[in-house]
Amino acid sequence: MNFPHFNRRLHLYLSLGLLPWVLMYGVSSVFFAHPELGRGWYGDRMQWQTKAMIAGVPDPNFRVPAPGAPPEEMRQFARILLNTAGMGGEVESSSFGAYRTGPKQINVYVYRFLGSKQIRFDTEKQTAVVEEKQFRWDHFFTGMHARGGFEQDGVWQYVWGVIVDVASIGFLLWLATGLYMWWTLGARTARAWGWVALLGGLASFTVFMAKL
Amino acid sequence: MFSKVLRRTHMYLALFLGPWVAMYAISTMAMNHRELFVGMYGRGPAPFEKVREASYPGGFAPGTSSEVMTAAILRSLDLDGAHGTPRPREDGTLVFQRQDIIRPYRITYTPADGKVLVERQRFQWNALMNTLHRRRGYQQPYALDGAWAVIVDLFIVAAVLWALSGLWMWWEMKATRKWGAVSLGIGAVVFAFFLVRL
Repeated sequence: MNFPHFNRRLHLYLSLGLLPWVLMYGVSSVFFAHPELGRGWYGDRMQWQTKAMIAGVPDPNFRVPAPGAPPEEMRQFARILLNTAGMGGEVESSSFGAYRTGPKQINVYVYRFLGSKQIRFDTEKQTAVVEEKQFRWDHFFTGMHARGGFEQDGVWQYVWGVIVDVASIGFLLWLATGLYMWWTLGARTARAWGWVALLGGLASFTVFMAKL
Repeated sequence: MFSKVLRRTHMYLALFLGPWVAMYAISTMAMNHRELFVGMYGRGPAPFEKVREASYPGGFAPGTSSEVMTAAILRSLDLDGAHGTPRPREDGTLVFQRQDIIRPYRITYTPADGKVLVERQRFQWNALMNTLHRRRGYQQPYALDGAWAVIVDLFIVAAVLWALSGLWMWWEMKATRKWGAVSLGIGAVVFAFFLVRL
């Protein structure tokens, strides 16, 4: 196998392997660029359905973080609250975070691709309400698009972060291998129009960077 | 003929949108490794630094909309361009951002003394990557912003087209069908696994 052959196969097999991600990032971008679509279909507000009420928090080590507590303390609080609510499994498989939404309320938001939940915790009464979010296609796609990073618990979340990097490197490799394939094309017309497209894109991008 | 048109469309779109492909890929990696930037710059948004002070002596009639005020202030500063239009604070002070991909401005107009404070955000790589990645939409009445939004839409269409035309081109090449199917199958299974697992 010579280099041009290897280059073509890399371009092809990489694209086929990462095809679900290319399609997902492409389709989900529609809802970022045109959020009015989702709002038109589902309305502005998220719909939550109550699933459970928790009357009290039995953990004797349970301490409610003070307002302005550092993110790690809030996160630790979220872990304890999830376990108390019988949702300990979510710690490893969901993206979660705790946010103070009022002087007496902390919300723990639990995101999964196919459904999200939240726990609304009353800091004064130490009671909680578990709610499930109504499924929305726009949020399904935008949530999947935006998921990444390495701050969450659990090995599969870490692997997803690695896959996001792989997909990004894949895009750069398609660009590099595609440029090489264009350059080695025999057809003169394709070479000439290719230059027009390439230089047109570079010039446009430069203007945007300078003027926007 | 169809196949040739598809191949050429696939290629020319990629050549034209090459800078955007690179930008989205690099900015995705930057956002995926945001903790690295916290180490470099600390948490929170980049600070603003004072550029100059000016005055807007005429003032505005009570009830003037934010859209009118922000546009007039920017014109007086010779900074007309994409900007936010938030409501004034209770004391009438109007704080808004003038967008800029590299270093956005923050403008503070105080009606009591007619002073305008112009500040610029300190440059940070992660902020640049975020801004580039997230800029989109047709909300701004400026031609260049509209053109950027069109290119973002073109990129979305191109991404789907690259995927579908790539599938077509692969199917046309009998020699690569077997290993192509293996790649496609592995990708689909891994994707489905994560969809259910996470």
